[in-house]
Amino acid sequence: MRVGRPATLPRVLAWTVGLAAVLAACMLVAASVGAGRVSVLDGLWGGGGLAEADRRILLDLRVPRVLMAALLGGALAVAGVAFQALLRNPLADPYVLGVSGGASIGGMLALLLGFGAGQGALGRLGLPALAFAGALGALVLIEWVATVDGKLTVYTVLLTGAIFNAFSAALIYFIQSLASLEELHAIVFYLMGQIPAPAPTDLVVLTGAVVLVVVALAAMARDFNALSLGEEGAMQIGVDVDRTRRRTFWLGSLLTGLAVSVAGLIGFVGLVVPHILRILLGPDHRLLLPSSFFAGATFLVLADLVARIAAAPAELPVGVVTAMIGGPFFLFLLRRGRGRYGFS
Amino acid sequence: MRIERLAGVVVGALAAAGCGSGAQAPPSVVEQAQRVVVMAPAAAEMVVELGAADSVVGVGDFVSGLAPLAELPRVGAYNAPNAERVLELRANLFLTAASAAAAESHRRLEALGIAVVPLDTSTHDGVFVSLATIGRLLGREERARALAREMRQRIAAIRRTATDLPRRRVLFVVGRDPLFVAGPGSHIDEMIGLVGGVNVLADALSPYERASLEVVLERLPEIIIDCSDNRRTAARGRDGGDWSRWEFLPAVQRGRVYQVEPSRLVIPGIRLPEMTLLMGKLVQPEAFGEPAPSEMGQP
Amino acid sequence: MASPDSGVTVEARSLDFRFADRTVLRGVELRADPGEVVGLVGPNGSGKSTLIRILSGVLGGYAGTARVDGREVRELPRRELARLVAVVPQEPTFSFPFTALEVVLMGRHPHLAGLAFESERDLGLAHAALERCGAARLAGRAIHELSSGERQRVVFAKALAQQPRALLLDEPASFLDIRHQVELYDAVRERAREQGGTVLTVLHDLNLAAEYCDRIYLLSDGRIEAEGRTADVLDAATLTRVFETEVYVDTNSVTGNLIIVPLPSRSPGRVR
Repeated sequence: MRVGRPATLPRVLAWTVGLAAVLAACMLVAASVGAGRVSVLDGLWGGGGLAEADRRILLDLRVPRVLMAALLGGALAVAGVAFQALLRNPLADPYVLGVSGGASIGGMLALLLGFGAGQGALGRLGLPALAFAGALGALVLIEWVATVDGKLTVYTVLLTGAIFNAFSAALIYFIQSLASLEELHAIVFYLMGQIPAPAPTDLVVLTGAVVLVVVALAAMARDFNALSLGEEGAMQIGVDVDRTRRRTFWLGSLLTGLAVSVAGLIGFVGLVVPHILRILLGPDHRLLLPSSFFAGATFLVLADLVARIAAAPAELPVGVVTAMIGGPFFLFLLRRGRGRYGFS
Repeated sequence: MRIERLAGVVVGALAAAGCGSGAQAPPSVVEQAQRVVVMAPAAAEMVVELGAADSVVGVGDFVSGLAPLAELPRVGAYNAPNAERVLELRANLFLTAASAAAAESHRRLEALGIAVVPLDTSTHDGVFVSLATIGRLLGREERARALAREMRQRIAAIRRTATDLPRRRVLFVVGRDPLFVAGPGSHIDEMIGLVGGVNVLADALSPYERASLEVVLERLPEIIIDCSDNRRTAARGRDGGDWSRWEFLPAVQRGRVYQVEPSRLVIPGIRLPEMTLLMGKLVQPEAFGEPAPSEMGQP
Repeated sequence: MASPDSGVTVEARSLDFRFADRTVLRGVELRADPGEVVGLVGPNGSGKSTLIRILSGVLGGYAGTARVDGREVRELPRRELARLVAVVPQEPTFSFPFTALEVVLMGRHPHLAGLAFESERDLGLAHAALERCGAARLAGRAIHELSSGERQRVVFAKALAQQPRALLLDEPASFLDIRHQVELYDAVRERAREQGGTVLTVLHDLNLAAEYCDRIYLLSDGRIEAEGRTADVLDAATLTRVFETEVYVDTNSVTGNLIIVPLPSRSPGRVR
C-alpha cells in the first residue's frame, strides 16, 4: 500500500502536520458533542449566549477531558511503537512488560486506602501518585531482575514482565476478594479505564512530561530502525544496543505508567495504532513515531467520545470501547495484510 | 392477599432448595429451625428484631453492629461461606442473600442436609417478603406480621405528608470516580419517589448507573445526597464537599449537599421506615425537619 | 562507486574466547591487510563466526588482542568501529518489512548524526551499492518478500554502502546461485584490489576460496591449523586431516587456481 520510499524530512513533516490537523478537527468535534447538549460552537459563536452551567460543563469538564484523551492516546501509541521496536515484534503492547501491573496495584491500594475523587487535592492526586509509584516500583524491580551480566536482554525482560503481570493479576484478585462491595466496584472500573477531566495545572504538568518523553523516544528513531536488523546487526552498524534497550524500556514504561496511573487500563491503543500506521506508512520510525502520537491521540479522543455518548445518560468505560473498536478492526487488518505481512 | 404470596414464596424457596441438591426436600423446617446461620446483615437485623436471636449460631462476615449477635462465630462472605464451619455449628438453616455467584456453595450445603433460603432484600417488596419468610421459618409469624404492618404504616404516613410538597430534583450518588448514581428500579429511587423527590437520572438504564457527570450536572439537581464514601473518618453532614466546585448547581447554591454514611440509606432492611424518614428530611426538610448530623452518620 | 579511504589492518593476536564452559578460540593469530582478500575456512563449529563477531565488536569478553586499525576493538566506540568495519552476516534477520533500499540505507547509519535524514549522497551510495550487487531492481521490494539469495545480496549492498575500510563476510554467498556467487566475489575482490580495502571472508566453498583468496587461514576446533598462501594451505593432505574426509585437489586449467573436490566414501580414487 505504501510507496517504497525512505523517510525524508518533508514527508515526515507533511504527515505530522496532516495528522495533527486531523486530531485538531476531531478534538473540536469531541468537545462539541456530549451526553449533554452543550456545543463548543455555541461557546464560540454565541459569545455570552451560554448559560453559566453549560459554560462550566464545557470548559471544566469536556474540554479538559478531550485534551487528556488526546494526550494519553498519543502517549500509549508511542509507548506501543517503542516496545514493538524493543521487542522486535509488532504484537507487543505497552502493557506487556509488566509496568501496568505495578500501576494497577498502586491504584488499587490507593482506592483501598480511601483516595479517589471527593477528598480534595490529596485525594485527587493521591490515586495517580500511588499508581505511578507502583509503576516505578515495578519498573525498577523488573529491570533489576531482568538484568543478567549487566545486560538487559529482550527475552529476560519479556519473561520478567509476563511473570510480573501474572503476579499482579493474582494480587489484584486477592485484594478484590478482600474488598467490600463498594471498593470492588471502584476497583473493577478503575481497571477498565476512564479518562478523567484534569485541573489545568495537572494537565500542563502531564503534557510537559509526556512531550519530553515522546521527543526523547523520537530522537531514537534511527536506532529503532536499526534494531530491526537484529541486535547483532544493529551493533554492527554502530548502535549501542544495550543503552538503547535500557532507555527504551525506561521511557516506554514511563509513558505507560503515566497513562495507567491517571486513567486505568486502556488497551488496544498501543497495539492497533502503531500496527495500522506501519501498514500505511511503512516501518521507518522517523515517520512512525510522530505519526503514531497524533493518530493515537485521535483514536482515543474518538473512542472517548463514543464512551461518553453511546449509552447516555450512562457512560461506558473507555477501555471497553477501545477493545470493541480495536479488536475487530485489528483482526480485519490482519486478514487483509496476511500475505504482505509475513516475515521472519 | 399477602399471605398467599408469602406461602407461595416460602414453598417455592424450600422447593428450590430441595430441587437444587436433588436430595429429598428437607422436612418441615419450621419445627427444626433451632440453629440458624445468617449471612446477610439485613436478614440478621430482621431475625433480631423478631426476637429470634437465640436461634442464631453463626453469622456472615458482613454482619456487625447487632449486639445479640456480636459474639457469634463468623462463617465467611456471601459467596464463599465456609461449609465446614457451618457444619461444625450443626446449623440446619442457612439464610443468605440471593446470589448467582454463591449457587455452587449453596448446593453443597444443601447436599449436606442444610436448608438454604436465599432472600432478596434489595427492594422494598423484597424486604417485606423476606420479613414474612423469616417469620414463618423461625415460628414468629405474628411478630413478623405486626412488624410489617407497623413499617407499612409509618412509610404510608411519610408518603401522605409528601403528597402536596414541591417536587424536588434529587441526585443520589453511590460512588465516585467513576460516578455511580441510583437509577430507576433501585430502592433508593423508590424512596425518592415516596418523599416527593424526582430522580435526576430517572431515564437511566439500570438501578445503579455509571453515569456521565456532564448529564448529571446539566440536570441541575436541587438536592445532592452523596453516599459514595464509606470510610469511617469521612466528613458527614451538610457539606458541599467536591460538589462545591460546581457553583451553578442549585443544590450547591442553597447548601443542600449532604454527605451521608452509606449504611444509613443504601441497603434496605428493617430500618426502612427510618431510612425513608431520613430521605424525607434530606429532600423536604421544611416538612420533615432538618436531618441531624448523627442521622447522617457523624460520630 | 566512490572508493573509500584505503583499508585498515584487522588482526587478532593470542586471541582466546570461552563461552559457557567451552573454549571456542585458542591462541588465534590472524591478520588481514589492505589490498588483499583473506579467507577463513574450516569445519563446522570451528569458531569462524565467533571470530568475525569478536572482530566486529559484537562479542566482548575475549582474552588477548583483537585490533582494527591498530586499536583494540572493545575500546572503540561503536559508531567509530562501524565506520571502519562492516559485516555481511550469514543469516540476516529482519523484524519489520523495510524495503531493500531502506535496508541498504541503514548501512549509512554510522555516518549520520543524530536525527539526520539521509542525504542525496547517501541515496546515491545506496543505489550504487545495489547496482554493484545486481540488486537494483529489488530496491522498492519489501525485504521479507525476497528470496534468501536476494536478501543476501541486499545485505552485501548494505555493507558496501557503509563504506567500511575493512569488510568482514560470514559466508555471504551460501544461498546464492553460481552466477551471483561469482558476482559477489568479483565485487569483493574489486574492493580489495582496486579500492585498497581490507577483506576477511569466511567461506565453506573451498573452490571459491581457491579462486578469490590471496591468503587463507584454516581454523579447526578454535585453533589455526594452517595459514599462508592459498596454494600452500589448500593441499590434499592438510584438508583431509582437518576436515576428516578425503579430498581430491587439482588445478583449474582455466584460471590456474586449485580445484578441490570432496570424495564420496566409495569412489575409485579413494584410499580405503
